Amino acid sequence: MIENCNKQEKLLVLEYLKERFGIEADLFSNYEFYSGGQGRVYLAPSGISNIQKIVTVGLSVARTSSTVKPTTNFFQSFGSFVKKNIVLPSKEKTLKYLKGEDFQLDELEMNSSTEGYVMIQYKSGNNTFFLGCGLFQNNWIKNVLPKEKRLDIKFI
Amino acid sequence: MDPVLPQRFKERYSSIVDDPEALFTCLMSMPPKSFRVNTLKTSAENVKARFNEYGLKITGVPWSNGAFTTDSLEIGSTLEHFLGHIYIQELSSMLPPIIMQKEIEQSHLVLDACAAPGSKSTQISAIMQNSGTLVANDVDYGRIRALKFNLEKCGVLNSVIINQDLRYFPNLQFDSVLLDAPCSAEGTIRKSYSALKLWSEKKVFGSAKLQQQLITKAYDLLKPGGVMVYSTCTFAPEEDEAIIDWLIQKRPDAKLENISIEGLKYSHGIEDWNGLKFSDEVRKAIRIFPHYNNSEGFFLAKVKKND
Ligand SMILES: C[S@@+](CC[C@H](N)C(=O)[O-])C[C@H]1O[C@@H](n2cnc3c(N)ncnc32)[C@H](O)[C@@H]1O
Repeated sequence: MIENCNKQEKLLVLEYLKERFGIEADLFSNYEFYSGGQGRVYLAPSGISNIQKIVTVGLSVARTSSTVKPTTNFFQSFGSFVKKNIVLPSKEKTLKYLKGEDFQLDELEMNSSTEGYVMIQYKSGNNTFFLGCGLFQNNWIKNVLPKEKRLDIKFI
Repeated sequence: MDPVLPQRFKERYSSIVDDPEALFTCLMSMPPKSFRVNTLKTSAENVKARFNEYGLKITGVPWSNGAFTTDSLEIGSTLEHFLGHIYIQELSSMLPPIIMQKEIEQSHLVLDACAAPGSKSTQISAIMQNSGTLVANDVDYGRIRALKFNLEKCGVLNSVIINQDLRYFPNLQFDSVLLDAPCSAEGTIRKSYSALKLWSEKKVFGSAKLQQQLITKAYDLLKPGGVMVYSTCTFAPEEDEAIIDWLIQKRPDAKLENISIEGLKYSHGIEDWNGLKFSDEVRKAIRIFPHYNNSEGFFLAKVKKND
């Protein structure tokens, strides 16, 4: 069942994105927030309430339970607006991330991030890539990449 | 044992293709790997530069800026694939959204009536630049998972996924409709020998029955003035021109539009088949035979609902 997010849930997500990642709420003003059960929050077009038999909509932004967990797809689409809690693993560790493995970060790679969910970013030449979400704890990144996304990448 | 084309298959198509031997030989070879650049996330220039750095040779096609072929078997192992910057897609499968690009750009509400696993939905959403609403429907719940996965991977925000038999789809009115119909898939024989093994005329006739129902319903979901593209990946005129002819008879306000794609080789819809005579409007539809552009086979028709 897809329904419009209640005010509280929407606020919870927006405040979390602002506080933890510095993302402004007005970035989403062209879209609507929906709730898809099990705490899943989606971003999708507004004015779709007359459509029946909806399975799902738009992009899954986050999952809310005791805390908010942003999705990898969210970071891949909105990564350029993230201002903090960005970690910068080496090429070797990035490949581990893409495969679904956990890895340890050094000081520089932590990039002043605090514990909690972080965005994994990778730089190559002039290009910056927003790869997805990780859980930063005790200097480690716990991999939260969905199984079906994990890939053994050769060209990066 | 190497697969062979059934004699009946050859007999059927010898008369409707310019060079039957070239077609049959081509059908027994693999098509090149191909992909499309997802402009919701990157640009063709970026992708070209990256693949150049990787030392992976890719070649553009003359009829689209964002479509490439490659001999490399490793495009699935690139960061660009992981990130949804590229979408691995057969060349001719990219054509339906391309021939309705202008109409999609001007649409607020678009229906992809048989959408899973989403090759064309992701392409349509990129043309819409994530604005308006794209309704992506499919009857097969098992394939909806792949549809959702691909749409989200490509950064699509403007989608609504519906799991319905199109024949019982709620009555909405769309600015544009794509009906990429289930078919006997003869055009995919190059990639999948299972399509060849499963081939039978009975399958062709069975698909055609369903397609008649699907095309009238898809057309009825179109606003007056709107455009619908009907496409299949099969050569069978029973599933192609005959379906368009059926629609024209059932819905007299349906008119075919000319299709032109610069740089792509194609032939026109045929008016006669096995003693059947179709409306001469069907000549405006196009047929892509695999040996024309080293792709798979496709049929495309663009239908306008007159105001
Ligand atoms: C050719 S495939 C579509 C490929 C898709 N357009 C793409 O580009 O990825 C045809 C699809 O039609 C769906 N289909 C078959 N019968 C249907 C029906 N009655 N209503 C809706 N979808 C149907 C099938 O499940 C299948 O996914």
